[in-house]
Amino acid sequence: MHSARQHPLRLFSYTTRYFWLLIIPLLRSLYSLFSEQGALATWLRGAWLDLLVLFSILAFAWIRWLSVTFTFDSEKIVLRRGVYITAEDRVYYSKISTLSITQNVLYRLLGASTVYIGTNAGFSDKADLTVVMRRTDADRLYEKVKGSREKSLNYSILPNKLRLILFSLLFSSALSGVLIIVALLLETGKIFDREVEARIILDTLTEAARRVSVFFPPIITVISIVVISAWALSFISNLIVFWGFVLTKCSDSVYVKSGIWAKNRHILKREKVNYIDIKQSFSSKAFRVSSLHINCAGYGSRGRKELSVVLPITTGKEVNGAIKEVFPEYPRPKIELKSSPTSYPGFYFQPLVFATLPAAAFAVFYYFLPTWYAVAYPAFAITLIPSIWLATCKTLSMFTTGVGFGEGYITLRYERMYTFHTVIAPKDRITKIVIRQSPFQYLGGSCTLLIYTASDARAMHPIRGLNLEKTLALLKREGTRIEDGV
Amino acid sequence: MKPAALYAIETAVFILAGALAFLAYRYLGSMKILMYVLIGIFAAAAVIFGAVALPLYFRRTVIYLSSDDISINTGIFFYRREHMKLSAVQYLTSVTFPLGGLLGFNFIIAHGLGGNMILPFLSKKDFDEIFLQIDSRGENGSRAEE
Repeated sequence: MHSARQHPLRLFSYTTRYFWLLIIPLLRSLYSLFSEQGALATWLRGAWLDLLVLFSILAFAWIRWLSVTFTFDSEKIVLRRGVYITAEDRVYYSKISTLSITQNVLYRLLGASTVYIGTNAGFSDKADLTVVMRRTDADRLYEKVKGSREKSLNYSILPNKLRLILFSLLFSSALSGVLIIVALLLETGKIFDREVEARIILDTLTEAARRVSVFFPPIITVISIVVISAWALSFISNLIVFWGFVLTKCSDSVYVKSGIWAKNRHILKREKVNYIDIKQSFSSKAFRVSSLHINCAGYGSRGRKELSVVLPITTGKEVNGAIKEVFPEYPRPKIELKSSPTSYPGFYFQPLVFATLPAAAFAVFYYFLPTWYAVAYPAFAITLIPSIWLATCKTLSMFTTGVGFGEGYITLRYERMYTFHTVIAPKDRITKIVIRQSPFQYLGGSCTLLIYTASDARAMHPIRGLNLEKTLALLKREGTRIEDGV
Repeated sequence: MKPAALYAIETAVFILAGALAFLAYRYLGSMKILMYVLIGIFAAAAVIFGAVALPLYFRRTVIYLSSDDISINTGIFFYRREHMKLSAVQYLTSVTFPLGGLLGFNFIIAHGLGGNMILPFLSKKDFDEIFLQIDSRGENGSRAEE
């Protein structure tokens, strides 16, 4: 039995919970500004209140930190919290589907680790327990949970580092990089004045564009800088996360380790894996390169903004080999039903909708603010790129989308938001089946098959453009009878 | 469920309603109509909540525990029957208020597959017994039926 308190670093996150108390010094400062007796004198007279607030914030955080203790032995972990109202969480290792221990650079320097414990309980995709432990405690817990799992011969996969660099370089999605930049801008926007931020970015880009304008038109240079930065960011973040990636399989669990500065470790229970997902982008699909993900409660959950990867980007051959070794019970049922040609136009509906918004915005600028044409036109061209790219992905997905059953498993192949998925799930993990028809699909006799699978978050897999009659027949063969008719 | 918890909440409700009515009487004397309306609302809320809804809730809430299942029948106007297999319980959270042993402010939350079940206002004896029984299933390493 080992008992301890959380790492003192946790105090900082606890203080943020009481930051709302800072409204008192803020209001007092505003009041002193309008005081007739002099702002500084009025402010100084009540400075004791500000100090009291600051002290209260620290005291509340400290009491909260003191009140949280955890105990673990060879079979369970118990987390106790609260001063007046006490609560106790008790989780047995046999029920844990994912144990994740992560460290960012700061945590690593200060010897702290964040421990996430995920079970199949509840309906939230966040970890059931989150504890910031001293690294020694986290290591001890890791060993205890590992010790509770069956012992067997291990099989390890270490992705080839050179290939990882090469594939990350070639196939890292610029879009994800752009999303990261946008997120960064939004985050910094909370701190800095938005106008200042826009000016800094604009000035930097304009300066860079001016320097290379001898060779390229400025607008092209600006777009290129944005895309290249996004791509570089995506590449570096991929590399940091997946460097040193090692996957080890035992009879009942999968162990994953990764990271350069930020060290992450995960223990996943194999019987609690809901499905495996082979993900590809447009370019990686063309070169038969993919990454292997799994859905297991607590692993890669949105609550932790982390990826659910079990094999980073590598060749299709290696991915297939990994599935055979790590999930040998998972067969690869062939696709039996593919999208029907009559449904092909429907695939362009989504890109068309996406293109409508920038087009409408451009039309508004064109008619009502013609002087802004010079800015609006390139902006329209830029915002149209994602729609065109999506239409390209949809074109490819017309020929790859499909569904198949076999040996108690289901294979689902579809595209969603630039990513191509090949999902393999045991049939007993299917929780709901929906057949949806738009008016156009109704006329053309096609449908969209929505397969919901067990997950700690909503997991819906849309298979578009299937022939309705064939879909109903396939589902009937597999023991799901859905009545046709209105 | 422990009757002491009911009496404690009822007392708190009546004290709160009385205090609010007194404040309305003390500070809204110049607005007689508003004062009477507010006092009426506080009194009605206290009677409905403290004398009708709460006793009804406590009377209609029954917890059944067997070696394999746990059930709770509860509700004031809409009666609800909840049932959970002990094997589906993934982990437990116990919540204890100050004087929980005396007043029955003890709760157990059973986190099961896809949902939770809250067992409210348990006497210390029931709390210990239920917690031990559900917990012993976990200790035996009983696997969830997923």
